[in-house]
Amino acid sequence: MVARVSSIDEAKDRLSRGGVVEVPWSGDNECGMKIQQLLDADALGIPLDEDAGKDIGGFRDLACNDKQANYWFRLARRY
Amino acid sequence: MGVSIATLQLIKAGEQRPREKWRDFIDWFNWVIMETGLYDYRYPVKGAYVWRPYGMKVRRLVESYIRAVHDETGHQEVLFPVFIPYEFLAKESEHIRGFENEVFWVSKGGVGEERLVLRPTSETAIMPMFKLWIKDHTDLPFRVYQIVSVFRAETKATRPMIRLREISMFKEAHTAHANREDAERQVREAVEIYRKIFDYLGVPYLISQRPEWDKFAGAVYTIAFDTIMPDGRTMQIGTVHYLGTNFAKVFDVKYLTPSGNWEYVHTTSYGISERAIAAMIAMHGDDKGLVLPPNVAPIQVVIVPIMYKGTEEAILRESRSIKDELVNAGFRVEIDDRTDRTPGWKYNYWEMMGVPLRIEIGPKDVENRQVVLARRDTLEKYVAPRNEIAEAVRQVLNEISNNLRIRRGHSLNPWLPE
Repeated sequence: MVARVSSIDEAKDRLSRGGVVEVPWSGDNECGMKIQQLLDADALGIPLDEDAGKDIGGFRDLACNDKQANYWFRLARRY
Repeated sequence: MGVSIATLQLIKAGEQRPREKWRDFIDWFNWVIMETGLYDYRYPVKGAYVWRPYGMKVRRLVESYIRAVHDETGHQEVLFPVFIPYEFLAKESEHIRGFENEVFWVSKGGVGEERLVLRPTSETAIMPMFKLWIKDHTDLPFRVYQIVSVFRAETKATRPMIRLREISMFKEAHTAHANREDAERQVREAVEIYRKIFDYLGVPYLISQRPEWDKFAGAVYTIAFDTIMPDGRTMQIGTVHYLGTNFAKVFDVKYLTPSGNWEYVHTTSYGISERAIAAMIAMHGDDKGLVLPPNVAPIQVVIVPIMYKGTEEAILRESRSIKDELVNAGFRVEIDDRTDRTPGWKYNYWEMMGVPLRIEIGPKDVENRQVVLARRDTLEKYVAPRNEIAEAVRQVLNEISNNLRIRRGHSLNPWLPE
């Protein structure tokens, strides 16, 4: 139940149904914290059980549009 | 070896397991842990709860596996005091910043002026002893672990077994290494150890590197295991930290290198808790109650004699002989011979308790030299020949274990709506 999405609306929609989303992230901490706020979710971090940079080429950071994305960034609503 | 699950006669097909209440996760969880006598959340201190006998039996089985995988990978069990002098907890600046708002203080101990805290985690208890124990490079790597209570003054709402002020089954491992490379090798090994533990419990997980702002206070980086609960929220179930020389420097833990220099050790720590059990309960259960994986079920097989007037003696004798045979074969078995309950009531009861396999024996079965096997995970029933009972039970329990484990292979939580 991990959904890879690249738009804020899609990410919010998936999160409202539960589970984990992966969104494009530059790796910059401030942008990462902004992504948490935008999605009203908690960061789990960067995948270690799969390639965190797979097919990330061409995506922009979800919160900082001027930055190129380098990783998929996991977020969820956490206990 | 004449019997395999494929040759057993299926007499009742599997059903879709009821999972309506289960999706309303917290209510279901609180119901199931109370109703089965695993746990009691009515203790009069917020965030501190009671493990009841059935729960302790499950917990002991889980702990013994945790101990075994640590022991076989070079970790040695220790038991440290719950007290930490405040000045020790405060030595590593990031560490104290992260923990000071949730530390329990010992406000008074007789008439002295000691400033003690209850450990929130044990890095600062262990490091001063590492300093005494580690002399030179031949002492490294140095690996210890303990399973103990730790205390955190949670400000968020507490939840039974999930968000606690006294975490009572904290397995914390602490290791020291000659250099970063060896410490990071240990980090990878710890991840493998945790994979094994969660696989053993049939708990699915994601492994992620936490962002900078959410790493363990005092760590260089933190790797975390998260699982997805039935309501779609995630729960952190394990963490592994590379601590660099952050703690070694403030506690002055050095070792003598082969070339005669003194260098700081690199340390790691990693922890899991009763959340592993909470996740296991969450993952396998349904509206009928618990479903326990056979390897941690206190009762793996329950025998329900179906007694009709005049046949009680024969059926009880047969039940006892089956129990003896299965116990000798190494299974954990009980007979429910209560006379004030109907068989139907007992089926529901043992299904709620999560016993993986039920054996039903009625007069016709004794006559035909057979038994009925009822699976908790699929709700299927089979007929098995009496003379091959131990082998049939072994096959079916294996199948149940595989089924509970395989499902996690399909997707992280296949029951969540797509």
